[in-house]
Amino acid sequence: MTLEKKHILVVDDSRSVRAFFEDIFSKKEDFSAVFAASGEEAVKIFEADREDPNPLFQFVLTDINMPGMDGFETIEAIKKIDPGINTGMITGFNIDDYMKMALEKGVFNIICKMDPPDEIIRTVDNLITGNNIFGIDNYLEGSPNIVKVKITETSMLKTAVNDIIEFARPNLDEEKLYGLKTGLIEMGTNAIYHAYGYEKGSVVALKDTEEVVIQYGADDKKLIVVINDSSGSLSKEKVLSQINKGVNPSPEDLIASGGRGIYLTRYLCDKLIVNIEKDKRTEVLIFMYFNQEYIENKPLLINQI
Amino acid sequence: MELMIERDGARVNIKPEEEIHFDNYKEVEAAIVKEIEAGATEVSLDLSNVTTLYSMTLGMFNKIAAAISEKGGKFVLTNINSDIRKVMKATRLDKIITVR
Repeated sequence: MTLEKKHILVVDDSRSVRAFFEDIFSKKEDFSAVFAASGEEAVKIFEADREDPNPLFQFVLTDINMPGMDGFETIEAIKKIDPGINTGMITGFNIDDYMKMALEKGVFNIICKMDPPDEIIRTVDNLITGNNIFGIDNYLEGSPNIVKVKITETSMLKTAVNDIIEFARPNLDEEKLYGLKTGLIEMGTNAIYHAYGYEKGSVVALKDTEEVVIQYGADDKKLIVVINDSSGSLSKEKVLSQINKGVNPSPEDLIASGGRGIYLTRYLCDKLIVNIEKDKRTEVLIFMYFNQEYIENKPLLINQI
Repeated sequence: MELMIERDGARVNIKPEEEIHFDNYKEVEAAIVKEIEAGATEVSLDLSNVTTLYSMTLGMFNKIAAAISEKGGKFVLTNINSDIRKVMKATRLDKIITVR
């Protein structure tokens, strides 16, 4: 059976990084990658592709920090040629340093070069197809046991969080357990209070139509917890804005009485992915790795379909 | 929630006897507001029994700090653990609220 290939254009000024991507994409039969050493070269290659009666590229993945055109300028030029092209950015530097620019330019996905290669491939695949972004199964290797808990009242959130912490305890140190616990409470309360408009801090019994579901499981390398609500009240712009307010707070943000939950979760947990189906569901995935530490270089992964 | 409250003139020390959670932080807020309204100008919140702070609690701290500052007073956190210190630093609230 012949797999339909996904054609991508990868832009990076570093020869070794291009070689790294060539290596990981060549191992995937369903990917075909072309490489450019600069933003200028990428724009030329992309322009020629779009002049072809049968254009190939479905995705452009670009480094951010490059001599000449940087990643943001490259994406801007590429989008001028084809506004519908899917794009993503990748960097080895601290992604938080680019958060303000990402907000200004409407960039919601920045991949970290230090991510495990299989996760880089998965992220690129998700960005191209938009398929399989929802669901814990799509992010865990093998067929691990997944525990599902339906939260119907606030007190159940505490119990679920305690159960998850005990599940995680054999594989995570105290610092990571603290981060996980904080992230779970932040995202769990977000799902209960913000998604359905309840007053913060109140004791809530959710209505039958208001669903909050937590799922968790682990493979050999990581634990993932997914918090799902059926409101889809968030937007990717709102999520990015909240993260940016934490990274680059204005004097007003510093004294605000709310809006720190997503930032804090991303800060304390290894990886955070937010998937939104507008007005239908929001899914927050919290990753904690057993051996790998993400201290500063955390990806920005916000998807909306 | 049980709170230990010690008053010394306009100075008040409040110590929660358990964790501050998303469903009880408003009790702490109400107790502090009551002390400010009664004339307290320095309110210390002793976090010896608190291991984790959530964003709702941080937001409450900001509201309290602003309210007491309006009256020329001061809101202080004491006995915080290293995890809470990390959260205060990450959110830059250590620049807004005095930590001792």
